[in-house]
Amino acid sequence: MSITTENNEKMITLMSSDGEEFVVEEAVAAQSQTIKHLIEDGCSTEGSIPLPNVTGRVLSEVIQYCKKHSSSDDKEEKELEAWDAEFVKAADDHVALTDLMMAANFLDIKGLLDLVAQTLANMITGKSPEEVRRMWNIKNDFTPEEAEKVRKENQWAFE
Amino acid sequence: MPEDLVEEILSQLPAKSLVRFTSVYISWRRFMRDDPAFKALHSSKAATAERCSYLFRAGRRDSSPAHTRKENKEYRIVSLIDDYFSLHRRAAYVYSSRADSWNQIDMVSSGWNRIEFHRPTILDGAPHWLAIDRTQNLQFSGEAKTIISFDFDTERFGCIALPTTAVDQSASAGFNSRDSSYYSSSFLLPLHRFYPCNQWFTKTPDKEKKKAPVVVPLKKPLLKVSWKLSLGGEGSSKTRSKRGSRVYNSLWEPTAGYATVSLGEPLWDCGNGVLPVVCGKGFQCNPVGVRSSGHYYLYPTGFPAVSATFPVSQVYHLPTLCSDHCPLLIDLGFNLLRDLKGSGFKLLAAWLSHSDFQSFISSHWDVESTVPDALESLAGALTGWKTSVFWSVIKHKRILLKRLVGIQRYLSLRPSQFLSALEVELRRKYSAVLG
Repeated sequence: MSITTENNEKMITLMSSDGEEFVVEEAVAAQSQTIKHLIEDGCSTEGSIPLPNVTGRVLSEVIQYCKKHSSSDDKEEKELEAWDAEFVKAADDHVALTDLMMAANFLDIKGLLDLVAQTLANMITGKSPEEVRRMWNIKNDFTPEEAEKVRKENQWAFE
Repeated sequence: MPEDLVEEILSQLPAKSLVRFTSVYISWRRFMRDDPAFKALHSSKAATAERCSYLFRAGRRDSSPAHTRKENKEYRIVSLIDDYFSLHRRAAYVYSSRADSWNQIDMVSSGWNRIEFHRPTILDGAPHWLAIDRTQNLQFSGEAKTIISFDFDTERFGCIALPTTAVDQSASAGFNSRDSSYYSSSFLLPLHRFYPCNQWFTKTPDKEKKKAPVVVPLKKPLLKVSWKLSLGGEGSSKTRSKRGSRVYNSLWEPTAGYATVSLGEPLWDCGNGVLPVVCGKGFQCNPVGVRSSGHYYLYPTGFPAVSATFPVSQVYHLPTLCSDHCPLLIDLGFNLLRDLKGSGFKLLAAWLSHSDFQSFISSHWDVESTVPDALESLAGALTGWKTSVFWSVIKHKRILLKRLVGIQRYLSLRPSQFLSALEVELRRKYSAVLG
């Protein structure tokens, strides 16, 4: 299903995993390389494009990002940077950021992927290994002896 | 979370955090330490994020890593260069980041002009080389070995001679340097003939307390020896005596006869483990040159005098002994072209099959000029011709591959008859392009 608006912009319908539908301009959706290739291959003519592993909440954020980045040109780089910073701040929870990153990876939006990866990296830079494990529910698979050995080897990094 | 995403995040971290997180999860530790692709990824991000820089540091021993110190600290680089115009002449230059200039300094001994330097070991912030002087005709054992050190504070070389005969009891108690103008050194050598070689031999040369040496069995035939370097001598005796003597740990490799110092071998897992990237102020990593063995090529961009003198250099991680620094050896005489494969002009077999190739050659071969000149101009013309004729093929192939990947990604989640048919069609096109 493709609708054409007054200014002749082709519209694309995206459907999230929980059935929510989003109607966006083609230029916005094409920020995602995955969707772009699907459109090129004529997938959008079959109806809405289903994105089975992206939830509606995450997809709305992604679309927000894509809209901003497709509407502004290179001159407004400074402003865009500030907007990016606000954007990731709004999703300050690391779980939300991780979801966003997985979506960005699936949809192949390089700018968003880098932005979120950088934000997550900044979040964990000063953290201890224990805190990082808790963040992503990683099981500690070192034996106490091994952990002690690794710690001793890299003592300077723990100070 | 999938591992490639984890790598994406971790590659943005500064080296210190990265090293700390080796203790989070075993598989993280594995790719951080061993995966050359991750190291390349990490170094490619170096330009955009804060990174540690560990250069040779000037001044006294300072336990904080370089990046935590103030920017106005001075860094110095010592460079040993062979003068190709007069064979075997070696010159030493010291670069200072504050002055941004190179200064030639004196080599101590004229005999050093014929010395082969190996990679240094850093002891207490000073590089030590094991030098072999092949000019001396030796009555003892064939080669004269000397340990040469460089002091960044005074910008002077020091020299510690090693015995050329088998070590006896008296020599081990204190070995006096032949050249005492800079260091009078007492040098304790392992008496490995009294101890089996497959043992760690730890001896603290403390003259007051004559402790029995601690012997720990070990599989590797290496001797770990603590040796003492008393710093004294002329000129700088006052500043030296304040610091007194120090005990250094070094690895010794016993060979038949007596121990040779194994200086110059990088010990990747010694002390600090593997630091994946060392890059920072003024240095920009060139990701194409990353080797799996952990060597990095650097373009020294921030220091104009360095980049003007040595546009491309290679950096080695050095073992750290008695120091928490991660010193680097910056090989400024490194020739990138020699080491990078495929950077030169290549003639591809596919060109010969092209119908225009023969006529192109005959029209572009400059009959008037000499053969090397003609070859050079032909190579330039061919590069342009190659792009116009073959580039579209490569580009086309790349686009097709991208579309195929997109389709497969979608199909893995949801079947679609239309896409399956399209995939077959694209695959057919793809093989046609290459043919």
